[in-house]
Amino acid sequence: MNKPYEARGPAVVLSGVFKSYRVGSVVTPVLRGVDLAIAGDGLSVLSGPSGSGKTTLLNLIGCIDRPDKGTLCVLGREVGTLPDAVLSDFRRQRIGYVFQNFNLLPVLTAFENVEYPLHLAKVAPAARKSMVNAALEQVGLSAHHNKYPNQLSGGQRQRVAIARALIKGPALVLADEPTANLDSETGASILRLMKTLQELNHIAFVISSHDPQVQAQADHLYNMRDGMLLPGRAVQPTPSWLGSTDDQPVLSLA
Amino acid sequence: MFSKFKLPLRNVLRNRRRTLVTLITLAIGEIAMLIFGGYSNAVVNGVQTGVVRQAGHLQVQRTNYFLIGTGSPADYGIAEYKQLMDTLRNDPVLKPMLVVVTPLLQVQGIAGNFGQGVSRTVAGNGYVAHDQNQMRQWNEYRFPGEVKPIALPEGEQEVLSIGIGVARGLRLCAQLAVPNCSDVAVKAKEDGPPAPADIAALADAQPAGAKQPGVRLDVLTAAVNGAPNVINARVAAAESLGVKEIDDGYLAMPLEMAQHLVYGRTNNPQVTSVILQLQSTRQLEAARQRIKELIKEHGWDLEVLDYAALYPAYEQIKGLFNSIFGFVSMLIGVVVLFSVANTMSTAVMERTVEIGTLRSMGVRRGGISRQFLTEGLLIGLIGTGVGCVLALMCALGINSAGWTWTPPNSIDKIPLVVHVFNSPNLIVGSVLSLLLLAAISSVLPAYRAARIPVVEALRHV
Repeated sequence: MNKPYEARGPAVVLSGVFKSYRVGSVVTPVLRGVDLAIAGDGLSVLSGPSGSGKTTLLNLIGCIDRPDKGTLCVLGREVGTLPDAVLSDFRRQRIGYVFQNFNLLPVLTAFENVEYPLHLAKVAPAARKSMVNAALEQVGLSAHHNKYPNQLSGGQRQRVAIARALIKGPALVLADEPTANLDSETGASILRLMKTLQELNHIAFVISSHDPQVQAQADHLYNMRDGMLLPGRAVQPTPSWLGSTDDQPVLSLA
Repeated sequence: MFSKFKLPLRNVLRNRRRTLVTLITLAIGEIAMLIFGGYSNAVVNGVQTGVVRQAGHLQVQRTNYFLIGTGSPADYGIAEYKQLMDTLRNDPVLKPMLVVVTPLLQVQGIAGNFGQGVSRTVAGNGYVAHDQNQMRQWNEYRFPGEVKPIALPEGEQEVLSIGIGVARGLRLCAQLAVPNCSDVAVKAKEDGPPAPADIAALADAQPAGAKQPGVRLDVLTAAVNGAPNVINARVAAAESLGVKEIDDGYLAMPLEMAQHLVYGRTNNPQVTSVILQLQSTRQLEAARQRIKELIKEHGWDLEVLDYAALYPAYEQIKGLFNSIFGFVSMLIGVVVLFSVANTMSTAVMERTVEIGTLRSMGVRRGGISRQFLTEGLLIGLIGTGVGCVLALMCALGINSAGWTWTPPNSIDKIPLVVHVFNSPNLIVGSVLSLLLLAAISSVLPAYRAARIPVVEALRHV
């Protein structure tokens, strides 16, 4: 299993990142020169209204999309130009995802959903069982391990998704609006769970959310509007975080 | 625990109604291919069985007899046929393969029922009745039903068996009590010429006591020296050979009688062919090669012909059924191709978000492709597997039903059977071809699934 990314350096560094989408002949710029460094430990929250570009930024950080322009360094690796297969391997080994709609595989039970990343990582079956049981216990779903997603509540599904994201010991976990489809009470408990697990595992947890409840829990908060980070929330150039890949200024919380 | 097939299998079973429709399509396709293929095989095997029972697997003849010599058996006779038969029977390579080695003398002539004032041309065969009866037992493909012995009594020297067409033409239906055959009254030709005096004299020149009671015919042929020869013999029975054209000219007689007709009462009678019937058609090539070696060793002016060469219609029938089977298979293949492709395309569309999820978890494009290809293969495997079992059950039912049918150009009903169980190539070939089609059908959807950008897949509604 992978060790958490070392807390002393940034997990993510973006420098001058631009991203736009084309719909037909219309090109819509979504990110307009984002400079950002996200710490390797703690709960970082990307906040902002709908259309501000936080999900796009999260997609770039999660290596499921590529910037049009700029440098993107994730967990010490320049990922913007990596081939697709290498990026896939990188995601499999280092990054966990939690989605707004949970995105569990409906044909697999809770146990099997959590087990799946270990199957991808070719972990031996015997080891998988104990790891999955421990993860389900951690998220409080031991009693539901044989249930299929459609037999679970929204909160339970999100707990399974969190267990699935964390089971392989990623250095970086990304969550896109993880509480948006939950009632406030369930959302709060999910948030507490994520915070607890983040602290327990010392990993970088990046959440995109416009939920004030989530923002209140943030160790690092990044506000976005119109594809840019809002000034005034933060921002200290830290060239040393860029390592040997880049020497452009990046942003961090003040 | 996970295996490579767990997720694809569960996805296959996910939309049960759609999967069921696709599986039914595949199963019906498999059943259709196996049953029609089995029927084609049964027809071709049936034709082969009929030919092999009458003409054997191989015949050794004087070179070019088959092409140009059938009208002159005297010129193309095999004088050393007894030595040839002994050589074939005792050869250590051929011996284990042989069922029957028997001589045949083919004669062309005219059969006359002069009492009724009728005659017709016939193609006569001089047989050893016992050997012919043994040949008729050959049944490599296990066709149901009893085999009638040749209507030529064993041991009797001057006796004939005729086709029912000959019986009808010579107005012998009533006398021979032939079922479904009646003598048609023909107005006598009052001004017709009488039989030639020399022919009438020949007919009358039979030894005293030769004319005996019973149904009798005169058979006239050209003897070895070119002179006509005639013999009067009892007609034992009229039999159906199954094909009207054959029945209309068929005449069988004991070998010795045929030899008397062609060669007279000499000490050196000949035959036109030596028939070899083998244990199995699969031995044909090996037997043929060995016979060729023996012919070469002895310096005989002989050639070996197989049943397909002797009966050209066999290959034509085989080709016809093969082409129909190929056409039917092609139609089935197209239906299966589009059915599986439609199912897989719909699955890709419905599961686009899942594809995005898997990709975001680190599954490579190849992994996504493999998953959908595996699903297509599983659908193919289940569909063809179920179809195969059902087809075998259908085949069992058809073969046990006792149905009969009358093939084209035939006048006899034969059992309606399908040869599926004894056609492993057909089973394996149909299963593999449909599996391959299922896989091919999945290639494009699988490729498309793998190429969907992750972000687009996750945003898919």
